Amino acid sequence: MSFLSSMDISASALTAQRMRMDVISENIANADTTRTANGGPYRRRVVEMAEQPMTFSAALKQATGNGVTGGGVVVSRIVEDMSDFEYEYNPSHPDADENGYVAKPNVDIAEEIIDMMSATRSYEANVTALNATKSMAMKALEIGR
Amino acid sequence: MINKLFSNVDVLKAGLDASWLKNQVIANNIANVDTPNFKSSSVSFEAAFKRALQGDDFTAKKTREGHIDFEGADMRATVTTDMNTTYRMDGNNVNIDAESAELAKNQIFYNTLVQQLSSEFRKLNMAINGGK
Repeated sequence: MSFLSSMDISASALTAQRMRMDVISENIANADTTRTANGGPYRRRVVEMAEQPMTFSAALKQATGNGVTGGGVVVSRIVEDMSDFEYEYNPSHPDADENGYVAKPNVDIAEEIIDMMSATRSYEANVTALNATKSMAMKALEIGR
Repeated sequence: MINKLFSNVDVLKAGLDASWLKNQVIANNIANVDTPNFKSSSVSFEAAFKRALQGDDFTAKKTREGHIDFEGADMRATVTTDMNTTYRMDGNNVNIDAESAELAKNQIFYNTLVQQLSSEFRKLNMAINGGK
């Protein structure tokens, strides 16, 4: 039994949710960016989460029936949302095309904020799990007192 | 007699191990609450633990090597993954409310076991010291 691996599991989720939060912040910050390094307006980014692949020792333990399931979560990659840009009529804009339309990023602020709330709640749930593990470990130190 | 002295302690220890494993599994479920196609796992040991604690050694009579014991008769916690249900559109089936409740329950259970274990040691100590 790896003693504090539950804490590592919760910590991996905290890292992943924080990263998700970072990406959401980036999306909101770039909600009006019409010029990027690879040309065109900013594209919304989304994190993709995946179960953390099991280590060899964990897989062996599971195979021999000593419990242990999974090792937490990891952000496997950050993908760009390929949905269409919105076009806004603004001929005076420096990035306007010949018809006077400006391509705006495909970021929907409302969607981002909902995503942000979801990330916050998940983060809190994992903090609770981490604290539960911690208090259990502390309680175990009291055995025989 | 002497090897019966710690039999309760052994049962409680097995309970602590199972409870710790359960905590780990719940932590993993909560960590993967946003992972698409993740399927939650659960640990069941309470029934076997209760039997062991009550000293009810109701075991399967095995007449051959390959016979299977009754479920949980050896007090080992079993991890099962629920592959058949889906809770959300992304194929995930972690019910965060249920998991949180399980987490709290398991924590209390663990603390109870620790307390029982401590009192077990206190009793032994008292017996050794002749009730002083």
